[in-house]
Amino acid sequence: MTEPVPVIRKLEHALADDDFAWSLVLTGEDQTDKLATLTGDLRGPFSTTGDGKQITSGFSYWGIGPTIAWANATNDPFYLVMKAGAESFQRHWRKVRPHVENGGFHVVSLGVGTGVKDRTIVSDLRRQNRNMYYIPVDMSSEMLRMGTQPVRDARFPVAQVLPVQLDFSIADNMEELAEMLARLVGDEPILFTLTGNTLANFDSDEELLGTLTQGLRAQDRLLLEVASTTRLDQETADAAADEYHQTRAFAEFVTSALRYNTDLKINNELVKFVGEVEDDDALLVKILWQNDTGDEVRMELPDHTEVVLPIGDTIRLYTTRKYSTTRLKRLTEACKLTPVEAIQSQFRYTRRPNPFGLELLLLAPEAAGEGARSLADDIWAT
Amino acid sequence: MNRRAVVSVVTYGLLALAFVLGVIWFFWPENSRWEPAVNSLTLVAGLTGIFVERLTAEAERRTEVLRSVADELHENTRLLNDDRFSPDAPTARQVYPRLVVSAVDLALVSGALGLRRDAELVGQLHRWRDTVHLFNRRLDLTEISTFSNTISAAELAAFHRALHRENSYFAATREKLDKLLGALPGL
Repeated sequence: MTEPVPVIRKLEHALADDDFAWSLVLTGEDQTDKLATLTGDLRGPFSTTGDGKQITSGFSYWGIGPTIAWANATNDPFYLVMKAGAESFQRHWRKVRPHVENGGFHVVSLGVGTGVKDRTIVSDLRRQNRNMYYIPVDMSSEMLRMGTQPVRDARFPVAQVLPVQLDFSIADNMEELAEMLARLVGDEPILFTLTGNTLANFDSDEELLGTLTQGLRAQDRLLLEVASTTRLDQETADAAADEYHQTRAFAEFVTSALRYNTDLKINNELVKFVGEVEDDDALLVKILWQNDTGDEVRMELPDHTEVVLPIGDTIRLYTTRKYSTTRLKRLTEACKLTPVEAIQSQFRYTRRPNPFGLELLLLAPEAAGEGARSLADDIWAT
Repeated sequence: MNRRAVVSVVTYGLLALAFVLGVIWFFWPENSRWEPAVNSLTLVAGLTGIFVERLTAEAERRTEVLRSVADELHENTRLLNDDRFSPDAPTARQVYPRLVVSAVDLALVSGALGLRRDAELVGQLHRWRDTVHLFNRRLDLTEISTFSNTISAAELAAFHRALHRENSYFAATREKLDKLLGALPGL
């Protein structure tokens, strides 16, 4: 009698000539837990500053409603930052590319986004390494399906793509992911990418970066893209908040998670964009819904319980930041990451000089030693 | 036996023989052939004595030069073991001590080292001189980089790591120094 063949081995051939739009996703977590987390976050204490109830990063993109809203926001021609970001990424990537081009890297994309940046990275790296894997990781299976489309359109072989549905901001998940990846690729290096200012969306960005660094082996690299600012004052912070305020599609997106998961009627007037200087080295923009209606508001949560929102209470919908060079240095040092390359440029779509821009960093774990040849290594080489 | 020893033995031998003949001549002065014998012997000894003196001076100079080179190499060993080069030193920016080569430079220009006899040693000293210059140049570059305003702690740590790496120029210099110390002739 022959041994039974595991279904996963047959799947590749089974899907090979199928025109139907199958998508394969490896799911790492029980989605019920995620819903419980979302519900728990919305049951937070009273706060007028957006520090009580909140929708944490990841949940903003969770489910088909928010995913569609996100796709609409990214396609909005008035969302200039998005457009400028896509253009500057191409420029920055060209300069970073030589450091990873010949290393035989696999790509693990954390927070897949629209997938357009991943398409650029993956197509460039595949030229040197035909056998590379592309592993997009996201909390939202809908985002994974949408975000992997550009890579598939670029004729990247489907058999070398493995979407993973996982919340990588949880340390245990990241540990499991790192172990699974190590078993999958062995000693071959992995390029982790965290693009589109995703880092800034987390309440504690240092904690997230630390969590991600735990998953890096000496041969791995982290490609980090963040929004940057050259000025740090209240006026600039307000301007940063305004930048998000300008597009209706973006406002639709930030409120979509609340719309989709609760019965709250959202009036866009009640959505506030608050900018502040954080720790003297970054601009923090909080997007919040605030109960300015003059009455108590009742909101039903996914578990059919009700939450009372007193007058002035807030729900934080979205967090983002613009980083100064000092903050980035502090973050990378705290997480024991060494910059291999860092490229920064200002946005050019405004008439006046703009303090805002984007920075692309290629980081190596400090333990990399041999791999990352720094200036010091070049000087002391024999 | 080297040349200097042969010439010295001949000189002193001749002088001793002349002295013995002189004593015999003193007691038995009737033989008139003693005189030219003693005279010729002392004359030849005088001539070879010039060579003895020259060869001795040369040898002394060579010993002196080699001793100063050895002293300098020991001093360099001490410098390489300096706390500032220690792997346990804090990764702070600092000015490093430089290796010295003045005695080696002097040894090479003095001509005190024999052309044929010390050919291998001279080659080694030339290579050591290059090594020290390149080592010191690397220290210059390290200081220029670490004393710039924009250096981060991670970059400082990278310099510390690069300096103490197994295959760094620092390790190579130390190895070369040990080898050279071993190759110096005993004094």
